[in-house]
Amino acid sequence: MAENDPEMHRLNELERRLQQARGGRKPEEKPAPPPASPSQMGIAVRLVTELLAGVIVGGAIGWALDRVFGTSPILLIVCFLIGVAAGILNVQRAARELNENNAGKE
Amino acid sequence: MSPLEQFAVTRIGPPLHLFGYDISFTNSALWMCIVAGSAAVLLTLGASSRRLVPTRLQSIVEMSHSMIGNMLQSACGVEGLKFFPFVFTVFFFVLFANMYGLMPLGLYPPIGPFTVTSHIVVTFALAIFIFLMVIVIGIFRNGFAFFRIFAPNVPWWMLILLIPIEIFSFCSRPISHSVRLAANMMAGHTMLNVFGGFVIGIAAAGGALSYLSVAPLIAISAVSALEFLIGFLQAYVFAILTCIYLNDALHPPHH
Repeated sequence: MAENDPEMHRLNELERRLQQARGGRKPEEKPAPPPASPSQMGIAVRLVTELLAGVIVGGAIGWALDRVFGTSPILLIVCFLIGVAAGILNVQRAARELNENNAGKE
Repeated sequence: MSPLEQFAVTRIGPPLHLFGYDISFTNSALWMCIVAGSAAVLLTLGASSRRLVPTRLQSIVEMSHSMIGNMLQSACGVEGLKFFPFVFTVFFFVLFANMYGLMPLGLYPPIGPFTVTSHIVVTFALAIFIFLMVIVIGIFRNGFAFFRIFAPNVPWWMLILLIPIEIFSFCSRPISHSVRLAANMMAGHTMLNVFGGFVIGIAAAGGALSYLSVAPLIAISAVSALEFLIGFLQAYVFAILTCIYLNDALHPPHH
């Protein structure tokens, strides 16, 4: 896999030669990522879309499965509830990510 | 003129039909071609001079190159650099589409600037392509182990409930990925257009009231500046989410 990859090998080789050319100096520190601090509005839109996406996917899958199996509306209800749970999971993940970004900045 | 009229897709040239689908050339298609073509020309021009002391254009290209490179490397490690061309293309397509849409010439609908990314069908096409790519690459590289991303580290009896939730959460990615970009672009452009309507409406009031139309005009200038920031930020967010999703395909979490 990755270790035997000729491309990866070339990259590693280049990295080694770069180190040599720099005379063993330590590689410079990575420049800070661009200031991607979203506005309050951006955060709100982000969280809302995450929640809605889960609900919509749940409802759509449930509706489609109901049509296939003719069990309307049992699967729609079950999948909708799972979709809501997935949406909340999405929101929780997004919020944790935002918190981590903020914590890294301070 | 309704504030939503700027998003109308109109046909340019003769109507074309193929297998019952309408495939006529539209202003949306025209602007996609302009976006892709000008991005390619500009980046090629910037990269072709190869001077040691870069010109302005060259340094823009070099800086964006290293920005995307760093982003990809911090999200997916060195292996992710294989996908550099793809992420770079996605980033510049979205960025240029957002920026062209901000040209204040939308008064002439058939050929006026058209924000390609304000249509969910465009962003969703991008997002679903990335979604399917992640699945194919993930299965190709990791085999069955790729499906471990659906199994969080919990007691087995919790998995009965959590695996469906994780699968649904995974399937909702292309939707939130695409809706966020399209909604941001559409909201911004609608807001600009509504404020523009205020300027004309108040100026037409007559008498001393007309001078009040300066207020929405100032607001438009401020919002336009903000829209440039949002246009860049949304392109950046779209690209970084692409990197994060690719990371799942390259390194599925080991639970």
